[in-house]
Amino acid sequence: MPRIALMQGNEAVAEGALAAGVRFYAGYPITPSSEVAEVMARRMPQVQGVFIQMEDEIASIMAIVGASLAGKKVLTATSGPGFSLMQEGLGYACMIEAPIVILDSMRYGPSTGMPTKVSQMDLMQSRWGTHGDHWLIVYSPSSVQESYDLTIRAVNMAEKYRTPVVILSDETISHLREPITIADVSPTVDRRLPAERAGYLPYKTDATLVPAIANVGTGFRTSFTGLVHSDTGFQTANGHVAEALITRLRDKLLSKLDDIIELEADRVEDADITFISFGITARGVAEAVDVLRTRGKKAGSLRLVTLFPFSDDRIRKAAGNAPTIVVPELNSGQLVLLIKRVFGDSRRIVPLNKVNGDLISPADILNFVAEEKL
Amino acid sequence: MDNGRFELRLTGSGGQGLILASIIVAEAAIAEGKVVTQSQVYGAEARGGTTKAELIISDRHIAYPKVTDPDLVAALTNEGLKQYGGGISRKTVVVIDSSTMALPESLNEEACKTLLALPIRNATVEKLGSELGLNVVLLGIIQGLTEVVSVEALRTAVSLHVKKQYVDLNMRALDLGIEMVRESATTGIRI
Amino acid sequence: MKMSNLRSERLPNIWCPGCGNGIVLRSLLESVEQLGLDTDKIVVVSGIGCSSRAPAYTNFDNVHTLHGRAIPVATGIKLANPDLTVIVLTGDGDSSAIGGNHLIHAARRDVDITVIVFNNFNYGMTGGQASPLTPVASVTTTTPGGNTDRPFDLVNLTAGAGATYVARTGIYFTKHMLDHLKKAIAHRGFSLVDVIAQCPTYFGRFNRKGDAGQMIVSQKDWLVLKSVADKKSPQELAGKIVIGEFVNIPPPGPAVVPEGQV
Ligand code: SF4
Repeated sequence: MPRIALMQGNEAVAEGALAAGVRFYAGYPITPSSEVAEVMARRMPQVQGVFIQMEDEIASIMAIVGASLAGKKVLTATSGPGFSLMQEGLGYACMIEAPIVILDSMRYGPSTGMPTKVSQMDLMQSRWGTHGDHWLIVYSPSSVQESYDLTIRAVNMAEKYRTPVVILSDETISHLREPITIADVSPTVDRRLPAERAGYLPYKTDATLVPAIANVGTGFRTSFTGLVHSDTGFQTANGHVAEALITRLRDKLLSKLDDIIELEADRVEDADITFISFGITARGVAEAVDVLRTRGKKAGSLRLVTLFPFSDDRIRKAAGNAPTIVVPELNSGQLVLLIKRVFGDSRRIVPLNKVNGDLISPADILNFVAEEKL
Repeated sequence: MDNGRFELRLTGSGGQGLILASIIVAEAAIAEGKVVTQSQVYGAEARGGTTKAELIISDRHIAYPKVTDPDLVAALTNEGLKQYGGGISRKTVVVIDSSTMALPESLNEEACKTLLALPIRNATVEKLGSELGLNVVLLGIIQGLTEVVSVEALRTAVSLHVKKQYVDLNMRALDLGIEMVRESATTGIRI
Repeated sequence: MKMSNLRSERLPNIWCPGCGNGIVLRSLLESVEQLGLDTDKIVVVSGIGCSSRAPAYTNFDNVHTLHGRAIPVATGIKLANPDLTVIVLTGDGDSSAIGGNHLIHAARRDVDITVIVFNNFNYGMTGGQASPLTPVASVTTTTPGGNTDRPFDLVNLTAGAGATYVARTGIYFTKHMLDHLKKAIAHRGFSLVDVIAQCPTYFGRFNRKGDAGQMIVSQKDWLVLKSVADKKSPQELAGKIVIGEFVNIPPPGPAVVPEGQV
C-alpha cells in the first residue's frame, strides 16, 4: 500500500535515494542541505549502508566516486559554496563515467551570499561549473513529491548512463514540508556490468554508447583515469581517440533525449503569453496563470523538469506559439539566455528577475504583466 | 476558509515550539484528506530570535507554497508580529498573547477581521503549572477559532509527537486552548 | 618476482632513466606477492604526479584520480567494500600539499588503507618545483635561491593525526623498504610509509646530488636507522633523516556494537 508522509524536501531527497538503492552517502554540512546528511546518518545504518562525514566537499564527492567504482549507488548533498568545491570531482566522474548523484540546494550567492535565502543562481554552474567540454543530467524539482521522485530517477539515470546527475533544488523546496505519496517499491535500474573477463575492454561500447565497466574488486583489473583514455582505460594523447571519447560522452546522452528530457506544458496551445520557468519559481507561475486565465488573459506555462541536456528543438516544440514569452527566475537572467537562443527574434522574450532572497510570488508576476503591459 | 483554502502564520520567538505546532496542524489536516504546505524561516532566528512558521491547508493542489493572504495570524511576541505581520487584511483573524504583548495600535477594525487578545502564557502557567505546552494551548486556540481541523485529528497528531508520560498534559493544554476561545467573550479582548 | 602483477603491455614506463619510482613500485609488487594477497581484491589508487602513474603499471584494479584526491577516493572504495585491500600511491606534493587535509583526516579516522608516499622532495612532473617536503635551503625551480620554508615531517604529521602505523624508509635499503611496506599493507587501520626516493632529473640536478646511482648510494650516509638514531644526540643527527617504524598500534579487538544498533 502506498503511504502518505509529511516530509521536508531534503528528507524526501534522502528517502528517495534510499528507495532507489543508494547505500553510500558522503557529505559535508552546509545550509540549506544539511538535513540530507542528518537523515542519512540515521537511516544508512538501518539499511546496512554507509554514511560518512568528510573533511570538505572535495573529499565528499571523491568519496562517492570511490564508492561508486566499488559498485554502490551513491549520493552527496550540498549548496553553492560546496558545489563550487565539488566541480573538479564532477568533471572527473564525467570522464571516468562514474554514476553519482549530487543535490545542490541553491542559496543566494555568489560566495557565501545569504545562506538561508533562496535563489536559482547556480543554473549555469550546474551545467558549466567544471572545466572542459562535458555532459551531464540536471533535474529541477518544484515540490517535495518531485524531490522524492526525481531523486529516484536521478539515481536510475546515473546508473543507466554512467554519468553524474545533479538535482538542482533550492532553499525553499529543501525546507518546505508537503505530504508525499511513497510507493511500496520503486523502479530501480542497475548499471550494466561486463560478463566476460576474456577480451574485457572497460571503455568499449556498443550501440548504447554506455560502457559496461566492472566494479573494482571483481577481478576485471580495470584502469580508471581522468586523462583521455582509449577503450582499454589507459591514458593516451592520441587526438583521434580523444575526439572519439568526447563525442561519445556527448552522444551517449544527446541520443537519448526521449528518455532524459521531461517538460511540463500547461495551456500553452492557445496562449498569448507563456511563462518558461523551473523549480520553485514554476509554482508562483502556476498560480499566476490560473489568475490570468480567470481574467480572460490567455496565459500558459512551460516548466523545465529536466534542465540539462537542454534541447532547443524540444523547447521550441513544447512552448506553443505565444508571441510573448516571460522567463521568471531567481537570478539576474540565466535561463533567459538559453530561451533567447531557442527563439531568436521570432518571439518577444521578457526576463523577470528577482534577486532579493524572496520568491517570485503570483502577485509579483501579475504586477509585472500589468506594468509591462504584456 | 474561503474557497477551500486556509492560510495560517504563527510567529514568536525561537524555542516556543511554533514550527512543531504548525507541523502538528499539518499532520492533522493530512489525516483528514487535505493538502498542505508548511514552511518556516531558517537561520539564527530559529535559535532564540524571532521566528515564523507558515501553513497552507487546502482541498486542492497548492501551487504557490508560501502564505500571502493569511486567514489567521497568531503572534506570541510583539517583535514577531512586527516582523512577520505582512499580508494581514480584512479577512485575517489576529490572535495575540495579552500576557506578554501590548495591543498593537496598527490593528484596528479597519486592518483586520478580528483581533483577539488572550492571556495565553499566563493561562498556560496557571492551569498547567509551567510554560510547557504553550504551543499546544495555541493549537487549541487555532482549532477553537477556525475548526480547520477536527479536535480528534488534532489530538491524534499531538500524541504522535509527545512522550507517553506527557500525553495527558498535552491533551489538557489542547482543551485549555479550545476553552479559552469559548470563553473569549468574557476573558479576551476582541476588537 | 611474479611478472603477472606487472602490466607489461604498458611498458616502457614514462619515468626518466634513473628515477626512483620504479624501484618503489617493484618493492610494492614484491610485498603484495609475499603477503599472498588475492590480487583480484587489490585496488591501487593514486593522485597526480610522476609517482601517481605507478598504479597503471600494476595488474590490479587501479584508479588514477585528481591531484591530491587519492585518499578520499580510496576511503570511498574501502568503506563501500571492506573486503578489498586499498593502497594509495602518491607523491610528496600530492599527499602533503594539495592532499594534506585528506591525509590527516584519513589518519584521524584510522580508515583501513595504506598510503605509500614516493618522496623525492619536489614536484617532478611539472618540472621540479618545491613541495612541503622540500628541505630548507634546497634549490627547486620555485625556490631558486634555496627553500626558506620548513618542510613537514610526514611521520610526525600523520602520527599526530592518529595514524596507527607509520614508517619511513629509503630505496637504498631494499629489505628495509620491503619489510615496512609489507607491515603497512598487512596493518589493520590507517598506515603510511614515507619512502625516500630520488628524482635525478630535477631535485638531483638542481642540488648537485650526482647521478641516480650516487643519489641512491648516498642514502646510506644521510638516512639513519631508528635503532641507531635512538642512541645519538640531536647534534649528531643534524642533517640526517631517521628511517624505521615510528608507530605500530595493533587494532583493537572486534568492534563492540552497542545493543540496538546495527
Ligand atoms: S621527473 Fe623526477 S620523479 Fe618524475 S619521472 Fe623524472 S626522475 Fe622521476
